Amino acid sequence: MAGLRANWFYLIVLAGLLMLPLFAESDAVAAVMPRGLTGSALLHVFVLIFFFAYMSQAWNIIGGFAGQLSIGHAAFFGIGAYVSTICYIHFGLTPWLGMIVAAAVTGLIGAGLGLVSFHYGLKGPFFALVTVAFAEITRLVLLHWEFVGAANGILLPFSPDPTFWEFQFTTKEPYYYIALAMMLGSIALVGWIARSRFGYYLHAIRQDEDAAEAVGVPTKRCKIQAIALSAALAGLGGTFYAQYTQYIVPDDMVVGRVSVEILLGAVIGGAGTVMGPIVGAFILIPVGEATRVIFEGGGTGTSLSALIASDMGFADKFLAYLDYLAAGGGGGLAIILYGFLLMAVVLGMPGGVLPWLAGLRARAARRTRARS
Amino acid sequence: MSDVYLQALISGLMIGGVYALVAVGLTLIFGVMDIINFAHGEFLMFGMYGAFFASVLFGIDPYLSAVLALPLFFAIGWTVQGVLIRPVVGKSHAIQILLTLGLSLLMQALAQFLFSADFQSLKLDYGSATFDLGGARVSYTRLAAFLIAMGLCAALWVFLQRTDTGRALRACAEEHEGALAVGIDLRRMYKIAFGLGIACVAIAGIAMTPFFYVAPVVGPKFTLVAFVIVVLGGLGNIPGAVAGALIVGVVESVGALVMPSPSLKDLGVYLLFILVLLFRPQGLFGAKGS
Repeated sequence: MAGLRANWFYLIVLAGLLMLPLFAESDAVAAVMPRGLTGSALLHVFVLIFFFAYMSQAWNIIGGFAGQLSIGHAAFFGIGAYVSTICYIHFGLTPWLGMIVAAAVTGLIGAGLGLVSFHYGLKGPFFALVTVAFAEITRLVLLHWEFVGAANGILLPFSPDPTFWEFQFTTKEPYYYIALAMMLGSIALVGWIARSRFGYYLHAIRQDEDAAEAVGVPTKRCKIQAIALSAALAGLGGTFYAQYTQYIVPDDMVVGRVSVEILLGAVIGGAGTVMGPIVGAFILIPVGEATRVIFEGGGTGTSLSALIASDMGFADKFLAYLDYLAAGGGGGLAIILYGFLLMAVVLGMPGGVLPWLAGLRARAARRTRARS
Repeated sequence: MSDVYLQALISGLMIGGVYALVAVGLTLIFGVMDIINFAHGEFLMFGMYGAFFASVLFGIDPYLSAVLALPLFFAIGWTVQGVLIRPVVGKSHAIQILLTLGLSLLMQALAQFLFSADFQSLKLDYGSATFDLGGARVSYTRLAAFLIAMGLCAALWVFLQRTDTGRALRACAEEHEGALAVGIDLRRMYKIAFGLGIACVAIAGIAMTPFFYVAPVVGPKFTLVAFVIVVLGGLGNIPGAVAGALIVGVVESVGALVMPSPSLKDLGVYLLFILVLLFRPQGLFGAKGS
């Protein structure tokens, strides 16, 4: 019963999402959304949601289903963006095919990382640390490789009248539908995995790897397959990001903050569940964007360094500093909220929001049964 | 040995000493509580900001701040342990890592909000003074940081070996249930361990402020380097961590010489890390329980 109701809920949401761009400019949307969040600004927020849901779903395969915590997925994301962009700039390969090359390259790198890590039996925190070190190495290499623009990154060639093959669009709608399709595709893929033998193997590994090994689950092979698939999907996401923002740079993409943001959606929604990353992204991105709109709109224009150096009295300095904070300080409020949410979920509902809701529902059902 | 290499060796040992204090804090927390603290570098960052603002606003010398920071950051660590970390002690490593990752994210963003993303650095009268040591230039502030860090590592070692509390902490690190059985208050020991670990890393940060920039993003590098050192020296092994730190410091500064670009110096450190994890996970000098 509950499953059926959930399916109807998801179908209605999907229908709404499919039609949203048609009504993005309408008065009805303007009436519901805060502060003129209509048209392309609204679609942008949804592109972010879909994209984060997709990336988090990619992470979910190795981090959630296989239970191997990766804190370095920003590396696959970044490499994917660079591969398709370089294919496009240097070999004229359309990003639509570049995307596939990117996925192949990041998938192979992921498999290599998995092969080395799992062959030597790295588990738990040690695997997590290797992924962190791998991402740092990737960032350093990109940062110093002149061929890929080093620290300046790459500004994608802008075409004023882009064709479909250039994977560039002058409006937000195509990006919206591409991101939506990527998210839906990732749900379908992970949904299929969850019900396949491979998925059950991963589940067994997550629960108790030694027991899984003892009953004949090829644990090493499964983990390598999981990280390769996860990395390939993350690389694909990198291409989309490059085409959407038209600018890629190592210090924005391959950093720890991004790796954490990628896993955040899945962990908050429910790691190892099919809809967890999606629910997580639909919670996180609106919360983050709302925080940005509300608190980081203005800014006093004074910099903190100027404030420290000024010859005001201490009390005046302090008041000026409070003004500075009230205007949003140095920014970062959305991330503060993300960090807080991550800790709150880990402490309060360790499985994530979806498993927590399922637990609530099960308890309510037991209570009704007990009463009748 | 040519002068550049002597210079690199000395600079490497100096910064390695500071790394030792960072890593000793991490390995103490790991040894006693079996907790992996991904927010370790963020406490270093807050220590640096504390010293920076104390200096520019009130004219307090960073070396005085380092003394004041000991009780302050011990109390902060004690509180963080009691409120945030205690619920996940004994839970899966994934839960612990995610919690401390959340804390690290929050502290970084909080620093950005409060202090802005700008890089700040302290300008002190004595900040750039150096002396000559057999052809290499050694800066007084770096030597001071090295001596402070080494002194504190030694003090911590003596504390752990010679005092009752220190012995109780080591008992917790050896065997939780055994420690409980002989009447050691585990919860209190955890708070002490976390408090000491945080005080160590914060003081390491403060000792660096005379010659190192401070920014909200300064932490993760130190967290990762501390992990490298702790794995290198053997988890929970304090003398191992000191030795590992000096090795990492030298690898880094020699790396800056041999790599095509000085900012690639960390590459050698991370490669060393992965190799050690793969081939000698118990560390170069043996680990807790091995």
